[in-house]
Amino acid sequence: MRGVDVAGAAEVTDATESGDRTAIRVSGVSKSFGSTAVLTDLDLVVGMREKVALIGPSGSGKTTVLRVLAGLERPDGGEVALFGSTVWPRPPKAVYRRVMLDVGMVFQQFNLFPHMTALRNVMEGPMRAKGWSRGAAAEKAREVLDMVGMSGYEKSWPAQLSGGQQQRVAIARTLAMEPRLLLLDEVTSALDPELVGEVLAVIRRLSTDTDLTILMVTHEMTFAARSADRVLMFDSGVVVENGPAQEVLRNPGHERTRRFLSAVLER
Amino acid sequence: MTWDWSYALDSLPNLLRGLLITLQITAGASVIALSVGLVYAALILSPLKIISLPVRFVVDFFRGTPLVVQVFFWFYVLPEIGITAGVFAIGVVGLGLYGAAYCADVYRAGIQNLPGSQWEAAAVLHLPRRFLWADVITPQAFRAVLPALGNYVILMFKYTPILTTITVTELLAEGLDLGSETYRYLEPLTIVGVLFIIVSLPCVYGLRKLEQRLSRATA
Amino acid sequence: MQHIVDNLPYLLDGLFVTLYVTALAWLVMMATAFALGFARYYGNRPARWSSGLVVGLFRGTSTFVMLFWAFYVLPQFGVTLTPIVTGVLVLGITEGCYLAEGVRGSLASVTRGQAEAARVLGLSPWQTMARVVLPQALPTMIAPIGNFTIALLKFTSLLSFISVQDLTSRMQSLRYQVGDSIVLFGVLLVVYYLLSTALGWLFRYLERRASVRGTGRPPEAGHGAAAAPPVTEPTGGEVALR
Repeated sequence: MRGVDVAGAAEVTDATESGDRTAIRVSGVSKSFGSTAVLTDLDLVVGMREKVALIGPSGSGKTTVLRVLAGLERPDGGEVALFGSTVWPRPPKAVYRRVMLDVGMVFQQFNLFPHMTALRNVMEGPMRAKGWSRGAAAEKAREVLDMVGMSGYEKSWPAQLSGGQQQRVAIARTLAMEPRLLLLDEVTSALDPELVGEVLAVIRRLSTDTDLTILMVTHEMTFAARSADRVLMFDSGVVVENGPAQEVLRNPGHERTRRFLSAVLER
Repeated sequence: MTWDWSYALDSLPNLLRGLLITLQITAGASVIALSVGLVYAALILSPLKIISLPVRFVVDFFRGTPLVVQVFFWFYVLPEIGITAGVFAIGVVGLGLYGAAYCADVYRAGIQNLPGSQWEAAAVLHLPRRFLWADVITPQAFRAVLPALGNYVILMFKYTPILTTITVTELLAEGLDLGSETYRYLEPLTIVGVLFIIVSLPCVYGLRKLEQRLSRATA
Repeated sequence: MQHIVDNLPYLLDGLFVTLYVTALAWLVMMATAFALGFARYYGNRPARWSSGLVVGLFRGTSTFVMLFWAFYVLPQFGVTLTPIVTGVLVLGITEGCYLAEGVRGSLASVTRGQAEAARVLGLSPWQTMARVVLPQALPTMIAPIGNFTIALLKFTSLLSFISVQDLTSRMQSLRYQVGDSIVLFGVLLVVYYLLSTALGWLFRYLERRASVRGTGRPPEAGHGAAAAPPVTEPTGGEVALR
C-alpha cells in the first residue's frame, strides 16, 4: 500500500540508519549576502523526531538556516549532514537527491502553483519527483488533504481559497512527498489573524501525531512553547540561547532573548 | 466633395480581395513571428554568452530598424544574391521576422517575470528539470504572455499595408489602385481604414476579455 | 561605399529631415498623449468617451493607411497641408494615442491615498498635481515615452512615400541611380539601428536618474538566468535594503 502514514515511513527508514539518531548536523556553517553576514560559524544538532522552534528578530538568520537545509542556499563554508549523509559539501547528484527527497519545506507565502487545482498541486510531487502512477498520487493526495482538513476542496484553484486554506494545501503538498524532515518557514506570518489558528492546529497535530522531525521558524511564541521540544534563539547569525521550549520562553537566560520576548509578547 | 455610395459599393469587391490577402499575410507572418520568437527567447536565456549575446544583438537590430527598410532590404537584396522569391513570400517573411524580434522579448519576460518562489516550490518538491519546465514554468509563462503575443499579431495586421511598397497587392494597395484610376481617393481609402478598424477592434476587445479571464484564474 | 561618401551631403540632408521630423512628431505625440491620458483618467464622462473614441479610431486603423488617407483625401476637402505637416500630425497623433494609455497608467499608479493626503494637508488641486502626483508619475512614464519615441523615429521612414525627402527617401533615390542595394540599404539599416540604440540609452539614463531620486520604481529585480533557481533575499529586512 502506498498510503503509509508519515510516522510508519519514518520508522522503517530509521532502522536502516545504523543507529544514528541525529536528523540534522550542521557544523561551522557561514553564509553572507554581499557584505552582510547572515550566519556565522553555526553549529546545530537536531535529533530524530525532535520538534525545534527557531525564534529571533527578523534578519537574524533563522530563515536562512531552513533555506540552507532545503538546499535553496549554498553555504559559504562549513558542513551539513542530514540523516547521517553529508549534503554540503555537495555529494554526487544521485546521493544528494536521495537524501533530499526526505526533506520537505513549507513557505511563508504558500507558493502553490496557481495554474493547478489543489489536488493537482499535491499530486505533482509524488507523480513527477517519485514517478508514482496518477492513481496512486491522487489517492495519496486525497489522504493528505484530508489530514489537513481540506477534503472537499480538491477541485478548487488556489486563487479561490483563503490564505489559511492555501497554506494547508501547501502543507499537504509537502506531506504527500512523505518527508522525514519538515521545514516550516513562518507559515502563519502571511495570514490574516483569524486564519492563523486553523494552520497552527494542523501543525500541532503533525507534531504530536507523527514521527516527523520538524524545524519551524515562527513568531507565535505560545504555539512554540506548546508544540516544540526545544527552542533556539537566533540573533545576528548566531544561536544565543538553546534549551527546552518551556524553559527558554518562561525563563530566558540571555539578556537578548529577554528583550526579544518582551518585545514580541507586548505586541 | 461628397461621399459617392455607388462608387463605394463598386470598389468593395476589390477591397475585400485585398483584405483577404492582408489576412493571409498576417496569418503567415504570425506563425513565423511566434515560432522564431520562441527560438530567439530560448537562445537568449541560454547561460552561454557566446549563444545569447549574438542572438540578443540580432533581436535588437530587428527592433531598432524600420520595418519598411527591412522589407526593402529583402526585396532588393535577395535577387542580387541570386535568391528569387515572390513579393508575397518576401512580405510574409519580412513581416514575420520583424514581429519575431518583438515576440522574443515577450517570451523572455514571461519566463523571467515568474516569481522566484515558483522555482523554489518546484525545487523543494524535487521536480526533475523536464517537469519543472513542462508543468510549472511553461504553462504559467504561456498564460502570462498570451495577451502580449495577441497584441503583436494585431500590430502585424496593421503593419501589412507597409508591404504595399514592395508591390504586394494587399488591402491598401487595392485602395490606392482604385484611387489612382478615378482620382477619387475618399471612398476607397476610407473603406480601407474602416475595414482595418472592423477587424482589429473586436480582436482588441476579445484579447482584453481573455486577459481578464486569465488574470482572474491565476490571481 | 564610395557612392555613400560621394553623396554624403545629400544623405546628411536626408538624415537631418529624419531627425527634424522625428522631433516635431515627438512634440505632437507628447501633447496628444498628455491631453488624452489626462482626459481618460481625470475627465468627466463626455471627455472620457470622446477621448476613447479618438484613441480607438487612431489605434484601430493602420498608421500607413491613415497617412495615405490624410495625404490623398484631405486635399479633396480643401485641406492642403505640406507632406511634412501631414506626416508629423499623423505619426504624432497615432503614437500619442498609444502613449496615452501609458500616461493614464502612470497617473493611476500614484495611489489615491497620495492625492488624498495632499488634499488633507491643504494643497490645492493644482498643487496636488504639480507637487505630489506628477513627480511620482513622471518617472514611470519615461520608459513608455522612450519606446514610442523609437517607434516614431522608425515610422518617419514611411514619410518617404508621401514625398518627404528623409534619409530613407534619399537612399532610395541613390539606389535608383547607382544600384548596389546591399551596401546602401545595409548602411541605412545600421544608421537607424544606431539612432534607436542612442535613444534607448538616453531614455534608460533618464529613467535611472529619475528613480535614483527615490520617486520612481526601484530598479527591476530581474531573476537573471532562468536556468538556476533564482536566489531571493532571505529575510526581507535589512539585507534587501543594502
